[in-house]
Amino acid sequence: MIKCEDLCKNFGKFKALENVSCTIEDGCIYGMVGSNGAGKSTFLRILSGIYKADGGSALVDGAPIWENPSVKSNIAFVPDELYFLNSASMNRMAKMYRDLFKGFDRARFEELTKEFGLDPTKSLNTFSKGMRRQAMTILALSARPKYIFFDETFDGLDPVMRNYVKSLICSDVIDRGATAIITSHSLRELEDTCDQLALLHKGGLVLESDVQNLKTARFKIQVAFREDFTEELFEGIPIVRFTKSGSVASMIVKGDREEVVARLSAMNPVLLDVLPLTLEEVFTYEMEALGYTFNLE
Amino acid sequence: MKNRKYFSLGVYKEMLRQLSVAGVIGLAIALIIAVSPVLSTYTDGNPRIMTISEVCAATKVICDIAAPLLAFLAFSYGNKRKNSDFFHSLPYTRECVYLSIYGAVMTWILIIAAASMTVSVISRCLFPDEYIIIFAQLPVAFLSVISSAMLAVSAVALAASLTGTALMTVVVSGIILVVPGAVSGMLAEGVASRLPILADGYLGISAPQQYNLYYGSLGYLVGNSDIRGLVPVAYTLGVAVLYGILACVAFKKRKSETSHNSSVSSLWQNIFRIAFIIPFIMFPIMDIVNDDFEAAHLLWWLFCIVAYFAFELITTKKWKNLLRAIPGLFIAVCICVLCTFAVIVFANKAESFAPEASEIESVRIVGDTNSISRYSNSQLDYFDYAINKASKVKLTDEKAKEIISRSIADTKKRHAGYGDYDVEYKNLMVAVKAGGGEKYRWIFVREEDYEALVDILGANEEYRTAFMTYPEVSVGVSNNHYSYNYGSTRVDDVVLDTLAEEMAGLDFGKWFRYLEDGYGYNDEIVIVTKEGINSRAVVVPLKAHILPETFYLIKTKNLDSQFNRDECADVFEEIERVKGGNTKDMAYESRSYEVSAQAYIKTEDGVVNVGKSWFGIAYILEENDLEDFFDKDFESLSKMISKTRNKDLDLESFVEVSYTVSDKYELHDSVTAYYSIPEEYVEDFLDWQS
Repeated sequence: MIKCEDLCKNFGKFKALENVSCTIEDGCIYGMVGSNGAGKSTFLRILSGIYKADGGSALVDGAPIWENPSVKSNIAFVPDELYFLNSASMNRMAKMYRDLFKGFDRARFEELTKEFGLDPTKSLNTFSKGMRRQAMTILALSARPKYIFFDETFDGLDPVMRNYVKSLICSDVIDRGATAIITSHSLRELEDTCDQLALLHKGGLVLESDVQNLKTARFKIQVAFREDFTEELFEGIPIVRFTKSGSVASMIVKGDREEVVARLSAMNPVLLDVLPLTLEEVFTYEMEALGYTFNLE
Repeated sequence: MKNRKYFSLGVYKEMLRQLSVAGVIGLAIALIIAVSPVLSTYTDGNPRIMTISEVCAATKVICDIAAPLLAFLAFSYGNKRKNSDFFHSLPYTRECVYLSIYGAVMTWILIIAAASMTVSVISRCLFPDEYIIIFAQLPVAFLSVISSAMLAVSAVALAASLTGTALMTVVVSGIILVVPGAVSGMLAEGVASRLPILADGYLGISAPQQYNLYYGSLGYLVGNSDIRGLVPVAYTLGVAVLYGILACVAFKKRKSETSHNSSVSSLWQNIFRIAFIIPFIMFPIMDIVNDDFEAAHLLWWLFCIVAYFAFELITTKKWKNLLRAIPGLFIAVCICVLCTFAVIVFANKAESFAPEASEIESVRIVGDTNSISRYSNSQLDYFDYAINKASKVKLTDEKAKEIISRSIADTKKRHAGYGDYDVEYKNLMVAVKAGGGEKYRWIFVREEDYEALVDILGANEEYRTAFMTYPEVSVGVSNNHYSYNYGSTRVDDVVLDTLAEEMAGLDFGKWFRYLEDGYGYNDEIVIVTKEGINSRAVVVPLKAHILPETFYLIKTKNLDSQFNRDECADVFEEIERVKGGNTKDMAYESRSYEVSAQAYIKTEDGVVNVGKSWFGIAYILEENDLEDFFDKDFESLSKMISKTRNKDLDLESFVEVSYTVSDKYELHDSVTAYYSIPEEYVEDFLDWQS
């Protein structure tokens, strides 16, 4: 389990992370979204032991990460900017990873290399940007660590490879209880993969929730009545957002769907539709409720 | 479980591989340079003793260049974020990564040094007749190379841990390696120039430039370098370890996000900037402390101001930093002013040291060798060698104290410009213990005092024993500086034993003065002492009247009996004809003749050596100075040569004849030849003694 409490990180006067607290349970895929400069990479770098937090704590399985080789040997990090040893090939990097991670699976490495269509003997300098990202992903997955962190990894992969990597991550999490943290600035990339989602904005964690809960606990209702009505008619219903256009009212409601529908039905509306929300809409409305207005795309 | 806290074999091996291209190139260059002197130098078949400094000088230069380059390649990963992130994400502690990388760099240095030195030595061992190598110096030489290189590696590692760009890493490496030595050198020179009586080689502040093997190598580019003894090795190694530890601590504390920043913090940026400019500001210090201020100094300091701000601009690329840099300039100036005052105060205090004889506890004669030569393994004159051996002896003789006290006072007056310049002086370096602590002084001693001092030294049994004890010798080579007959030859044990016997029987005063004089000899034996790692090549000057038996043996073993005999005899016949007025054989209008003869006559009491020389000019038509040329000794010699020119050389008694014939165009011909002295001529030669 990863537990962060009041995590802070500054770069000079710039606050990259400010009092970030979260708990990431084992065996989950944790997504983190945020605009550029929100602090996603900084967060992952602290969890990887690259940066030292200026305040608060970050613990993995109850132990601090900083300068702790035993903890770091359970973490594989795929950064946004990739680095490979000079003139190294995938085979050489695999050899190094084998020394670093006791669970390194050579067979898996070879299988994935073949699946991705990469030549493990060629110098990585000759690979394209996307191929290098694939190579790094293969190495991280082959290491079979307990924790894998992907920093905007999907953003550099083509759609086919993206889905394939997602399936690999899922199978790792399901099969051996690994924990993955994936950052992206695109909610759409994460919504069908992650169990939990967090939103970072200007160094702070503004929202964190289970994805399923986010999707089901919030829904959109369109309702119309013969008589004119106002929002007061729906007193007692947990409305997040209310708009009315003509005689049709649209509401974003947070709460028990059946109870709300039953209550509205009892009012004999001429129109009653329940519509699901996309994750993006959920986030947007939640942010508005918290006083933030921004665009994630 | 794998050690991930202090050393990782995986990181070490990987870094070895990462440095392999640079390492192999360095190795190839080192090997080529190691063997090229043997391939390119014309060898005349004469043996020469080679100190390890000479054999391995190239190794040291290559390692001193390779070490910082390899260290830069290895440690500069911190200057790029993605590189830095990669290494810091590895499941090792930072000190583990640091030590593993450090080990890889030093491994390459060891490979280059060992291979280069091995090839250098072996290539010379293939010509044993020409190269005689002092193998005992090898361990210290190797340690010299390694400690010097290690210092460079540590300095670069320290610089890399405190900076975040390649430029700053290079600049700060230079600051760490050069500034301490440069500043200490300037301070020492400032002190010495103000007070020449001070022995600048013994000033404590001159330690970096004296004992720092890496800084000392920088002089190789402009002067000479040397692979020194154990003391400089220990000093250099100590500094290297200190820098290495500081670098390790700094690496642990270094934030990965320092990449692309010039320094880890603004404080360090200030320190580097100030350290950079201090040597420049202090450069004119020697002139300042000697009250020799010029307008050019103001221009120089203006340049320093520009350089100071340029440093900040170039390294940080931020104009706004220039304002923040201003206070640092004042700090640098204050430091330089303080140093200048310290030099003046120290020099004034040192100048006041003028103890009376009663205040002196003891005196040691240190000789005229500074600390560089003390620890050098280069060839040494026997006088310096013996003085060094005897320099530990403390003299408490009252007369000696009086002489030293007087000499110190004389020297001060002389430096102040009101000494007695009509008196002959000799120079001496002494260590004077007075009022607590020992002070080194470079003094002028009046000739009569010097003679008295030599007598005192001779009367001191401890000193005499230390000075006169002949070392155990492993090999010797005789050299003649002017002979065209022979150059260098290896001497056998008979010669070495004879030399030892003769030196043991010498009078101290005679030997001391002879060695101290150091001039007027053509022949020498270079001996290699058997003193373990302190083995040295020492030059023993040979003169027939001091070491006649040894001299005789050298001559008889080296000369080519047939060499130049006819040519020399022909010149003697020409001289005879010119004397008789017959100049038709002379090629030019005037020729000058210079003839010298050294006769070696074996008697019951040993070898007697006598010599004479003649000089004269002959003109065809006008003057004929050869009248004066022909005294009875020359006549006798000339007749003897005529008689024995075709006879085999008998080495019981023989004469070495050398002549130089010059024409009006200053072209000359010099020849040496040897002739036996027949029995009937022995008395004539013995008469030369009178």
